[in-house]
Amino acid sequence: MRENNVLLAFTGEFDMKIINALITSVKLKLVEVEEAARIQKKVYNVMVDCLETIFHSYETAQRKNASYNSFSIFTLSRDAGFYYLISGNYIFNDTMEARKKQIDKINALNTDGKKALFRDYIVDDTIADQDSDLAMLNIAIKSGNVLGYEFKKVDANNSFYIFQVKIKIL
Amino acid sequence: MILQPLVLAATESTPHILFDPARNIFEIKGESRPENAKAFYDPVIDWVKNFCSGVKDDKLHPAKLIFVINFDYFSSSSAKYLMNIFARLEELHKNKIQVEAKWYYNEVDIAMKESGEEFKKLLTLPFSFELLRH
Repeated sequence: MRENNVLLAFTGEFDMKIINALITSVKLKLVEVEEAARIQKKVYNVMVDCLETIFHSYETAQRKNASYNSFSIFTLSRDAGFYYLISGNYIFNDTMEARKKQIDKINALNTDGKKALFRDYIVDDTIADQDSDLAMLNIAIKSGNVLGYEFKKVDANNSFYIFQVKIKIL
Repeated sequence: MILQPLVLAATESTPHILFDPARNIFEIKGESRPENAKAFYDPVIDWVKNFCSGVKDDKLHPAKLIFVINFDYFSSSSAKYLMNIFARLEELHKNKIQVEAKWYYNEVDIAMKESGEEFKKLLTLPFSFELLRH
């Protein structure tokens, strides 16, 4: 990926005001750089889900422990074949395994399996642990690609969680 | 007691909602990604619960209820609440009250149509799709 293909890069603390500003900015940027309205819409949908996932994980972690480090990153970039959405935020080490399992479970499903799980989630509140389960699944369905992730251990309690999804430009 | 219409103006992150039994308008439109989906949708669900109870008691009986869903985007957490509304309307349908869902989608947003299809699979009430030209 070349640096000049970065359409948006944000680092800092996410709140709804920031998220709304980023969404507006990307909406305008996509109209400028992407001719296909269908791809614009797809990137937009996945991006909103990604930002919401960061926001929800921030909220959940903060409820659990007020000392949570809320620094996050988000980038949207593209090359000739794909759009790339990458987010990064701190998570507590004791939640890392559950997150890995959640993503691995989604990645192991085919499209119909993902959609069936989505239906299960929306009819039964007790299946999904939190809103992020549903958002993650939605990202996988809408992007049509596997979800990439990496955890970089920071200290005994925290890791930096990097999440990546790509969207094919047809 | 006459149930007052539910009117919520659209914001940057929440949809326009108009549920007006007197005029037989039931529509939800725009972006649905509220900061707190529960806080936003709980009052909506409460309104729908009251409405459905009234309809079952034959106090409020629309000729045919057409529920119009026309989202530009809805978040995953909104989906759970939307399903809750559908489930309550489906109860009316099972009680021989005419209910139909109309799911609008833009021609460039196939994912929106596919999302509607997932809801349709979960429901037995009449559910149709309306294409909006870009």
